[in-house]
Amino acid sequence: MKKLISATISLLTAFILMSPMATAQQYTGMTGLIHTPDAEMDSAGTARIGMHILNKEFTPKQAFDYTTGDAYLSLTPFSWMEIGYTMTLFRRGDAKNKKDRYFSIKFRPLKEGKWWPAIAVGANDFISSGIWKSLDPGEDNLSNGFFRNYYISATKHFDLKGHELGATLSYRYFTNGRNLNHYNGVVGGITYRPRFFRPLRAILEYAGRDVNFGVDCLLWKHLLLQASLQRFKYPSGGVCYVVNLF
Amino acid sequence: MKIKFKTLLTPLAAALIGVLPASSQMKGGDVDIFMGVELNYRDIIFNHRPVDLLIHLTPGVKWNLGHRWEIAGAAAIPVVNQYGDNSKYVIIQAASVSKQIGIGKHWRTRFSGGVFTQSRYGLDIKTQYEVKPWLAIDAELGLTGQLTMQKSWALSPMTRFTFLVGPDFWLGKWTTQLIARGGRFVYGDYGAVAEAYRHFKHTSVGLFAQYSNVGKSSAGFKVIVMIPPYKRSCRKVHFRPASNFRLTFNSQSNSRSNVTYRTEPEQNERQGWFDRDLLPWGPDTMAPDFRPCDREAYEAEQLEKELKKQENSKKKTVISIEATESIDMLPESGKGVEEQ
Repeated sequence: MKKLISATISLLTAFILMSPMATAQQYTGMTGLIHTPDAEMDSAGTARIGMHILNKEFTPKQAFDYTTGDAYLSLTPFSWMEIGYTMTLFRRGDAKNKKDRYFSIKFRPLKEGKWWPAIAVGANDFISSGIWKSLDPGEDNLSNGFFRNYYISATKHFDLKGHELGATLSYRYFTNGRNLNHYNGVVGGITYRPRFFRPLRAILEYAGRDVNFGVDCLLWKHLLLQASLQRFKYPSGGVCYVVNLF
Repeated sequence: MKIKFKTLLTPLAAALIGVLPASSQMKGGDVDIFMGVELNYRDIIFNHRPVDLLIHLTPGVKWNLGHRWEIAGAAAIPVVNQYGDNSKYVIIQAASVSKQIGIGKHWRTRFSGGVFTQSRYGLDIKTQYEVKPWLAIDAELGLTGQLTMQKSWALSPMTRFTFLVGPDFWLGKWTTQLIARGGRFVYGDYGAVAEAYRHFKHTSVGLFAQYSNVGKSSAGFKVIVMIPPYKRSCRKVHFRPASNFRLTFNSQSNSRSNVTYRTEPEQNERQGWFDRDLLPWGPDTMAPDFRPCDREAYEAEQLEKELKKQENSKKKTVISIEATESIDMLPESGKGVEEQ
């Protein structure tokens, strides 16, 4: 029995160790840290489909004063471009089937080199349909765009005897003032991948107001899991299927 | 030593033909019987469901008559219907006959007639002219009417003239296709659609933006996944799942703007309008999704089987003749012993 258990563990470990790495600002389906974006990109042809549970502390108060979830689909058509589509469940009044949908986009004009960091620019929720406004004419010129923000990020990785340390510095700006403007400004974080277990990534980030901690792990090349604690207190997490279409 | 130009050209042409992608579509006389599932969903009505679903089973048939003539048809059978009574009927999704021709070395055209998707019936011409390996001009003309297939069937006169025309760019290095088409759409609106696709091994993902004088602007994305099995059998009649799965997300819910029909049930943005070996251009030059069977090897195998069968039956005949002869040669007394 012991032999069987140890064989299973060895096999599992071998599978995991064979897995390539993936990173994620996973609640949007895009690459990144937990809440903050970074300049890393998936390899060309990588598609992600998944879902995430969002703690109510994670989302804009006006529309999401409750824990909710989202589902997403994203693709890296070229090594320098990433696009994503996210659908977040929310309720308002009696209507319970409402969803907030948004697109994300990210460009990486500069790839990480030996001496310089990768640089990326991007945006989440940058197209608005304006439906929200027409549904609630009494409210103060509301429109969709709860998660709308623009950012520029720089990310550099360092090899420390096989361990990988990553550092990210970003500047982002949420345009919709009533939502998440406490996340505006300079944000960033550090990541760590241990030599003995590369698919695992530990993240510590400063998201503008919060300091968050999380881990993500790519299992069997395709299953990406992320769990995080916002302000070391409020949990969020998700699961994602990652596949390369080439 | 004098070498004839022709002598050099022949192996070169053979080598070139060798590197061209093999045909992956049906051969003359082949019949495909397929089954797909069509998933429709909408969330434009506020109720207690996250989305309203309409799921159809779509059995269909495709018969290649040879010389690029083809008959294709499919029905849509609702198995889950949250769209209401108008969607509870079994309808003909498409039933059409089509003929493709290549004109010269750069021009290919498809003529279709019959029932098309979007409940249209009529005539349609699709054409593509290759200007350069990276540029083609696409055009589509249609003369159709509405065919309503609900409680009672009704036909509107075939008077709606539609047309679309525009450039089609192929960036082979990046397996990327950019398409722009403008003209008149199925419900009489005028507008334009721009699409950008990245074609992967068996999947294509595209973004589109559109404008119509009725529905105004909209945008969204499309995903086309070719469904396995990717190897086609050599039988004359194939049973298989539908060749592709298509997902379209449109950010606006106006279903009567920028609408086009498909003349054939499995028509999709990845495979385009034409057989991939009819003047191949653009995505046709990629490796085919569906590997055709090696018909020569298959025929040789079949012949071998037939010969073996014949040999076996000959052997059996010889054995049975020998057995009969040996029985006949038995002495009379022996027979008597057996009878006793």
